[in-house]
Amino acid sequence: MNLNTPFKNYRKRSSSKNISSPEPVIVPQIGTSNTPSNLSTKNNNIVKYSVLYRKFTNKKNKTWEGDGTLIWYTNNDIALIKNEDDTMICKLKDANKSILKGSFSGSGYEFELDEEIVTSKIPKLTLSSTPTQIIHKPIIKPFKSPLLTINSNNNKNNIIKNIDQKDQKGQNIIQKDKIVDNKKVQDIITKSSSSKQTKETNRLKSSDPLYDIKNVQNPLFMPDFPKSIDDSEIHRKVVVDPVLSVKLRDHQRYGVEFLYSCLMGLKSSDINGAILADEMGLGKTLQTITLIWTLLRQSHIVGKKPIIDKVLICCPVSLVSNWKNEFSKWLGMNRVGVLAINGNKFQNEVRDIQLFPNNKVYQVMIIGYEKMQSMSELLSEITFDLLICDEGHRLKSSENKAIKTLKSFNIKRTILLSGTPIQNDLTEFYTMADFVNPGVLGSLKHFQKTFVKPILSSRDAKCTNKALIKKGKEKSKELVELTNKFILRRLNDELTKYLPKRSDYILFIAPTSLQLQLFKTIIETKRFQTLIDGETDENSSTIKNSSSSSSSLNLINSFRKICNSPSLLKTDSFFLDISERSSNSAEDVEFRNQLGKKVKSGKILVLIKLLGLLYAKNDEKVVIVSNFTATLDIIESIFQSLGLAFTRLDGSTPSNERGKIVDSFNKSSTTKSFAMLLSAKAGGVGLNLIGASRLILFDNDWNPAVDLQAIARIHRDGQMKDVKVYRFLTNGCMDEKIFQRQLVKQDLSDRFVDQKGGEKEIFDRSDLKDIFTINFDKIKTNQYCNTHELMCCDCNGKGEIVLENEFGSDLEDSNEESDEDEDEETKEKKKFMSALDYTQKYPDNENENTKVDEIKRKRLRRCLKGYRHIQPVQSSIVFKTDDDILDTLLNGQDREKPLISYVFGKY
Amino acid sequence: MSREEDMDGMIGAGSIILVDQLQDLGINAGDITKLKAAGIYSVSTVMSTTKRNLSKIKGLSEVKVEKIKEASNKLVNCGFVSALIQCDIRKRVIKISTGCKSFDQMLNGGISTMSTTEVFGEFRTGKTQLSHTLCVTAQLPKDQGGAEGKVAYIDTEGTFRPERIHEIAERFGLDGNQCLENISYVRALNSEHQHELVEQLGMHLSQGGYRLIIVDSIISLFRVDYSGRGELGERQQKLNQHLSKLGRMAEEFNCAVFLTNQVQSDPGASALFASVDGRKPVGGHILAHASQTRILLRKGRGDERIAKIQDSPECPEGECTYVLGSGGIMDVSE
Repeated sequence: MNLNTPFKNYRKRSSSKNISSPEPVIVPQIGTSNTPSNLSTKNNNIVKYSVLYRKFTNKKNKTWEGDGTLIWYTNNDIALIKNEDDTMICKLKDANKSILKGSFSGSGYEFELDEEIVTSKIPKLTLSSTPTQIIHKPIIKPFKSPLLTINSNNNKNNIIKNIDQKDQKGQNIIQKDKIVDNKKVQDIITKSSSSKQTKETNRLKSSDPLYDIKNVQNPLFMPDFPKSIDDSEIHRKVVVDPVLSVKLRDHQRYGVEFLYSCLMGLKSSDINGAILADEMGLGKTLQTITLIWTLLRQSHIVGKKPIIDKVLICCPVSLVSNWKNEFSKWLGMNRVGVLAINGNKFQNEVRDIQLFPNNKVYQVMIIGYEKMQSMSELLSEITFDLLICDEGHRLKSSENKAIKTLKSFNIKRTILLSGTPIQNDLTEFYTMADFVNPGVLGSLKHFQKTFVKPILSSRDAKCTNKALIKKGKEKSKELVELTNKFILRRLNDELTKYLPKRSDYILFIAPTSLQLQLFKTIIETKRFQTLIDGETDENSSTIKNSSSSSSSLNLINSFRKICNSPSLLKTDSFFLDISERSSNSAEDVEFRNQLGKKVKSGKILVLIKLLGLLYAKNDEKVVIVSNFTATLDIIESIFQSLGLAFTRLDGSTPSNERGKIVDSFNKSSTTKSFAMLLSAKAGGVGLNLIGASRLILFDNDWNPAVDLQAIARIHRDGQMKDVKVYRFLTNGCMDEKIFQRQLVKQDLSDRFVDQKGGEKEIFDRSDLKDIFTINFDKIKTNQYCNTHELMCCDCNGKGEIVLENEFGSDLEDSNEESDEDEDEETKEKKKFMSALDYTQKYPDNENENTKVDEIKRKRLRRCLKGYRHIQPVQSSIVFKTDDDILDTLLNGQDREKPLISYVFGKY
Repeated sequence: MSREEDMDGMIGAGSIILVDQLQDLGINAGDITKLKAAGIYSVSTVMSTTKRNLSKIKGLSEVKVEKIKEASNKLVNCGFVSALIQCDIRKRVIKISTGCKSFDQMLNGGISTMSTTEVFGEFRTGKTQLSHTLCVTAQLPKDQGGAEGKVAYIDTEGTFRPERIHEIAERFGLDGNQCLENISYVRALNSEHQHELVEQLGMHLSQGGYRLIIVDSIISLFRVDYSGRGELGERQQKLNQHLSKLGRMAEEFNCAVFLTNQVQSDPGASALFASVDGRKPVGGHILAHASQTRILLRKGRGDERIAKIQDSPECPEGECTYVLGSGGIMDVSE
């Protein structure tokens, strides 16, 4: 060690300041020194390090007491160590070795080297410039939402490419960036993405509509609110999510707007609910779902929460799963949480309902009416913001428990969905309107006094007071105006624009001789005569006693059974009774057995032929609808004997299987499932049978709505092929009579029907006699059609389109004309005149019966407008309808014994 | 959770105070670098580390440690607050949907951030599938049950499948590639590495944007590295430190920590441990107490699985059924 070292000044250093000392240390160079490679070349002989020191301890958990500085004189390899207060605590020889080690001890202390202290003015070089030490700071990309939107900005900053270095094992080591100026780019990224984030998250707070509609062709905006008094409320446009609005048809768009304005109180302050009474197939479900989704996510005031939070949907039990499927079909499974309470035994319903309001998992609850009753206590704990009642005509009776329970929930906004809201009674109508908008029609008494009484009395057929009729019409007009604010009804013709063509064929089928014989048997029994005569004797306006009315009902049913198939009479106790075949004598038993074997009726024969032709065509499936399960049994056995595949759905099919049956029918080929046998009532509830393109209504019901429902099963959204509907009627028999009455009733349903309505009305006494009249002779000619005759149509059955002139003057006008005539008549009648003059002027020719016939005729014509009349048994003509199967049937008939006597076709 | 909730936990490190801010209070940059090297990135982490542990960091003397602690105390208040304020803090909690609505209902909305959830069950019960599903649901927007955040996935068993993420993203209508971008994945090599990763994680988390940390499974590497009764004590201690660190991170950075656990057989099990088939979760009481919510998964009929809450600070006991499908965890459809 060379002690003759020249004087070197060294500086004190305070360790707690982080400013590097400004003065340079000038060290004269004595000689060359072996500087280790990691020393900076600025100070030749002195290198300073910061060290940690502690007193020597044997403890397990050692800590460093403090920080000191080590000054290393490289020339003589001595190091001095000082603590924070600049007192020297140690002096080291062979400093080089110790420094290389990093941690060393001396003078009762232990030391650990930290880092070098650089004391020059020159700013510290950034660590990244020294090549061997690269601190890898991976660029952490901020979160970018992976949502696929319609206008997702492709915000690709293609500048950066991150290359993952993988070693042999495929692990990611480090991500290097290939950029020159990485800091600058990172700034750009963070700025742009964070601004995008703020944009997205603050969409609710901005006054733009919630969805980006620049690329949407026809955005559907909801009606605006009027300017409010409160200036702090900024309004924004409420727009329907483009995902849904592109799928809405025009009438549905209008429907959603209408519902929105009703619910939000835009129409009037006392209107908070609406009735959507569109006919079946117009998309009430879709309109409702669109409205719910819009209200769940948006508010018309900037910065406020969305308008509704929790929704309750009440519907018939079998439709609960259907609603859930509709939600997932239109909105996908993840946008809205839908809780369906449908009796699935895996579900803990009570717990689900209790947890429903607490969290954000579910927003919509779908529950059946009965379940809603039983869980009403639990449900009353939940605050719902919107109530939807599907098939709302269930709520038509005000004494109905369901209505009372629903009212007790105090849900502010209500929507009622119903395909047939106005069925029979004005009071029922009042109940529904009052449920949706309490008080809009006044109290019940007020409503009855102001509207019901005048309207009904004006509708009464016997009413002659002109003033009354006029007042009734006025009141009815007023009522319609009042209710049009919150009731929306569109008819099925809207759909015809979108759906494939539908052709209706009414086939009047000749009854077999056995059928005619059975009819004769009944008519000729004594019991029958007494029944008929007994009824026509009574005054037509009084009610019959129940025994005779029930027996006429039984009689009608027996007749219907004969029309379907004689074998059904085997178990008909009424028939057996009346024909005295109900005893257990051998003869009677034999008779019944024989009867049971006679399956074939006119309709069955035609059915077999039709099915044969249809199956041969091999690309269309058929649905056969009947009102009797016994008939369906017969048809089933026919199918089995023919070897054709079929599925059956009636009231006895368990509800959880129905969905599967329907699905498999729609999707399978004709070989696997050619026909669906459907019971009219069971099939009415929302089934979707678009896999079939032909429908056979094997028999009909008094209520035209039932038949219409059946037709709507196949002629609806999703149907690809042209639809052909065949209606089988046994010519001149009960089938046809029921059909005629159906038409009359259907006509009346558009207006308010008087009194009790329903089946009882049909049993007009004179009417009954007519029902049971069978014109045997005319039927046997095979050219007769009772309906055609009733319509007084002069065409010759060649299948040409019947023009209106043939019917005479326009029906509406003629009614009004007669009204005016009557007006004058009554005026004249009030003057005095001699009795002779009176009888000459007004001969007593207006028999009530003929008047009723006249009305019937007009109505029949009106309902059967547009049908072509075809009489198949004509010598020279080969008929061509738009259905080649029907053509084959008609033209290939036996002239002597044709199966089909007449056809009405609308195509 | 109201719509007007505090959103700044999301964007950037709004509520996270980074250690760099200690410079203003007199701690020099070098010390701050040392802190970062040890995995301490935020001031709240400093607060949660004991002086003893801080002293163990290379290069920090006791004096330094005192200074750092003092400075941190000035920045973050860790004293008593009224529960009302705590309630406000809890409003920032986000519930992440699991993909199955009845599962969410049972958990009162989903797995929650600021807490540790542990899921255990035999093989084939769906633990890894649940992890994958959560990777995707955590990225959904908040009104769809997600957390709009990134995911950190620590894989110890080698079961992570990006292809599954694609399928699950399809189910939710998301862009598969972007989903994968938002998942930070690492394969842990041994238990020490696993612990070091958590320190690394601190750096990532402090940037903000993370909402979910998945460790699948938490125990498998520990089970391997420590064998025998003798090392059991050490294993449990290490595990405890590891879990405590994860748990603290969850609370500080508003993330959900989701752990998967294995089961061990217990041939002599009596009815003492009420698990269904004589199997109990590994990890003993350390793991049991470290996680706030514990869920048992078991196999039901066919492809149904049943989840049951064993321990939860807020949800009542309950069971729910779910199925494993191509879209991850799904509801049982009728």
